[in-house]
Amino acid sequence: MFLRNCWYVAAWDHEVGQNELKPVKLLGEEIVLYRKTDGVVAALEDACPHRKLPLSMGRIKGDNVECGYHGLTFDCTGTCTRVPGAEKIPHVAQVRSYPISERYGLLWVWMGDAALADPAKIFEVDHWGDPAWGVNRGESMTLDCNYLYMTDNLLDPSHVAWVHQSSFGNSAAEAAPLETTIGEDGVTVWRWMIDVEPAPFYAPYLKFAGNCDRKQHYEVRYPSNAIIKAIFVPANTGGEGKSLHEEVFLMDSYNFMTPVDENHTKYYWFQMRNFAPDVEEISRQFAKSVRGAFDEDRVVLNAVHKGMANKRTPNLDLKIDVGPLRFRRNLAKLIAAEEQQLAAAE
Amino acid sequence: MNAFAAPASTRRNGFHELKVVAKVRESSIITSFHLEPVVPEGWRGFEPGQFLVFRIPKAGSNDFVLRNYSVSCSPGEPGRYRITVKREAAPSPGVPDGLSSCFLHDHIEVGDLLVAEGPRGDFVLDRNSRRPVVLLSGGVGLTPLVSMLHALAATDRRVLFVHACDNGDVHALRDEVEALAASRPGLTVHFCYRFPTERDRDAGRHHSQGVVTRELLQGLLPIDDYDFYLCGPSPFMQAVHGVLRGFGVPRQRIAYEFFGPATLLEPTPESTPAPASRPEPAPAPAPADATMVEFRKSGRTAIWDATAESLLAFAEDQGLAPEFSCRAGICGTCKSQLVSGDVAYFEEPLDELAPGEVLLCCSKPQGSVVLDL
Repeated sequence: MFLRNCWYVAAWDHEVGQNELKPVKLLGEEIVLYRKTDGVVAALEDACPHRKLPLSMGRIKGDNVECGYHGLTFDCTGTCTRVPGAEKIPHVAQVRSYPISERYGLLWVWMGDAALADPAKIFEVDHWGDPAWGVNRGESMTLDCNYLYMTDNLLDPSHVAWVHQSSFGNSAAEAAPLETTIGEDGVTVWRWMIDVEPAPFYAPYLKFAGNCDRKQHYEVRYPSNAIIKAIFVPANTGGEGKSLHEEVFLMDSYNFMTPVDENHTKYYWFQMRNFAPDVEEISRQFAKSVRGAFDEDRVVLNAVHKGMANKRTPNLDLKIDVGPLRFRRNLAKLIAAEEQQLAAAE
Repeated sequence: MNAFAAPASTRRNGFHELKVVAKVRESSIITSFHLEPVVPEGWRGFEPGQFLVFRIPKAGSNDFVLRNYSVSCSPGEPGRYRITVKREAAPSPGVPDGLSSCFLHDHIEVGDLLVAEGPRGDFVLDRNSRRPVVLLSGGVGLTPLVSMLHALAATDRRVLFVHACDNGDVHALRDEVEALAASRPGLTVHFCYRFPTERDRDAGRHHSQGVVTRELLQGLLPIDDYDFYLCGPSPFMQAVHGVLRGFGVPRQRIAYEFFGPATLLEPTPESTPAPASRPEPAPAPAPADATMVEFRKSGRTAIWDATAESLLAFAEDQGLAPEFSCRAGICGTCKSQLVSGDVAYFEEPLDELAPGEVLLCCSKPQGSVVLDL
C-alpha cells in the first residue's frame, strides 16, 4: 500500500551518467532513468510494450530510448517514435512517462497522476544553500523490509539507547518521557533531556564543556520522509519554547525512504549542521558514523520485517509505538482516500 | 482505593491453590472459610483490609468468574486466611442466586481446593497513623474491618467499631468482635440493628435500632480527628459517607470499599422499593456529585477517583487486572464493553470503536458507568 501522488527519491543525481540507462524500482514499478542530450533526466516505464523487455537493456539514441529487442523507440514523454518494419506506429505503443525533478542532488519521481506533479511539493530542506551550514552528502542503502518499519524507526527515539549504544545513544535516552505531536503533514515524536551527558557521537563537536540539554526531534512526513533534529545546548539552558543558546549544536538529518516494493526499501540521507561548513574532515566523519549507525538499523529492521512476517505468536504494541502507529494510521487514511478518488475517477 | 496509605496493589502474586481447612457458620446466612495455601510458601502476608481474588467456576462450563473476598482474620496469623461470605440468594424470583457465594456455601467443604490470587487491594489500615479510628460497616461488609480491628487491638489507638445489620440472626463474627473489644480499654463497639428480633431485645445484643444516622454518629463520636474506614453495601456507604462529609470530615480521612454485587447500587427512580427483607439498611440518596464505576463481572463498585489517570488505572486501583499493553490508546488490548454510561477520551483511540466498546487506558467516565469487567 503506497501513497502515489507524491515525490519519491529514485536515485542520487550523480548515479545517472550521460548515456547511461539506469533501472530503478519504486512502489513495485520498474522505471528507467536516463539523461537527454541537454542533461535533463527522464523517467520511463522500464518495459517495451511489445514483449516487455526492459528498455534499460536497450540503447540511448539522442533524447530517445531504443528497445534492445526490435528497435521500438520512445521519446522522453513515452511516445513511440519508431516501430521498425511497421507501416504505422500503433497508438497503443506507449510507455508511461513519470514526472522527475532534481533537488538537493537527488532525483525525485512523481508516482501518481502526472497532472498533479508540482515540484513545490518536494520535501523542504531548511538551510539548504545557507553558507553557514555544512552538509555531509549521504549515501543510500537497500533494506529488506517494508518502508513502514523505517518510518516506525524514525519516529522512535527510544530505540537509540539499544540499537546505537556506541554512537547516538546514552543512558539518559531511556528515561525521559516522549511527546507526540500529530501535524497536518506528519507526526513528530520529541523530548528534551535536561542536564545529561552528551552522547559519544556528538561530544567532540560541542562548543561548550560539561553536561547538556538535548532535544531529540523525530519527524516523519507523509509518505515516508523524515527529518531528525539533534539539538544540544549547555545544561539548563534548553527546553521547549526557549530560544536556543548561542553555542547550540544543531544537526538536521534528512531521511528519504522509497518503497521498492512491499518488502524492500531504498533509503537515502544527508545531514546538515550549523557549524564548520567547509571542513571536509567533519563531513567525512559524520558520513562515516551515520553510515555505521544506519547499518545497525538495517540489521535490526531486516530482522524485524522477517520476524513480523513469520510471527507465530501475537506481537505487542507499547506506549513507545504511539507516534509510529498514529503515523501509519494517518498514512493509511491518505492512501485509502487516494484509492477512493482513483476508483471514483474510473 | 482512597485509603490513606500508598497503593499496595502493585503486588501481583498470581493465582494459587488454597485448601479449605475449616468451614464455620457465622450466622444464618454468613459462613467463614478458613484457608491454607496448598504450597505453604504460597502464603503471603497481607495488610488488614486486603482481599483475595477467587476464581469461581461457572456450573456446567469451563468458564469462571472472579470474585473478591476480604480477608477477615488477623494479619498476625501466618499460614492461613479466612474469608467470611454471605450467601446471596436471589433478591426476587427470576433473578439467579449469587453464583459465587452460593457455590461457596453449597458446594465447598473442608478439604476442597479454591483458586485465588492476592491478597491485594488498597483499602488497607494506615498503621502509621496515630489518629483514633472509626470502623463503620454494613452487613457482611464488616469482614475487612474485623481484620483491621485485630490489628488495632494490638495497638493503643482508640477505636470505635460501628456495625449495622438487620438483626442478631444475620450478625456475623459478633463474639469475635466483642472479645477483641474486651481485650483492652479504648476499643468500643456499637451494633445497630434495623429489624431486631425478640431474642435480640431479650439478650441485649444491639445498642441501637434503625439505621446509622447523623444523630447516632454524633452521639458516638466526641469531636476529634479520626481515620474513618467504611465498608458495606452501597446505600449504607452513600448514607454514611454523606453524614461524615456533612460533619466536615475531609475526604482524605475517609477510606472506603464497596461490597457485594453493585447491581443494587444506584436505585433508578422507576425501580421498585427494596423488599423489607433485604439485609441492608435503607438506601439514602447518593452524594449528588458522586460518579460511580461498576465493574459488573467482578461485582465491584466504587466512587470514581478524579485523580485516577484512566479507567484502566482506576480498575487496577480497585484490584482488577484488565489486560493491557500500550496504555496509550493504540493497541486495543484493554478494549472492554461499556454496559451503560459514557466515557470521554483524553487520548483518541487509534482504531475506531464499535458501539458499546471502550478503551480503558485512555478514557475517563462521564457520569456513572457500568463496565463488563
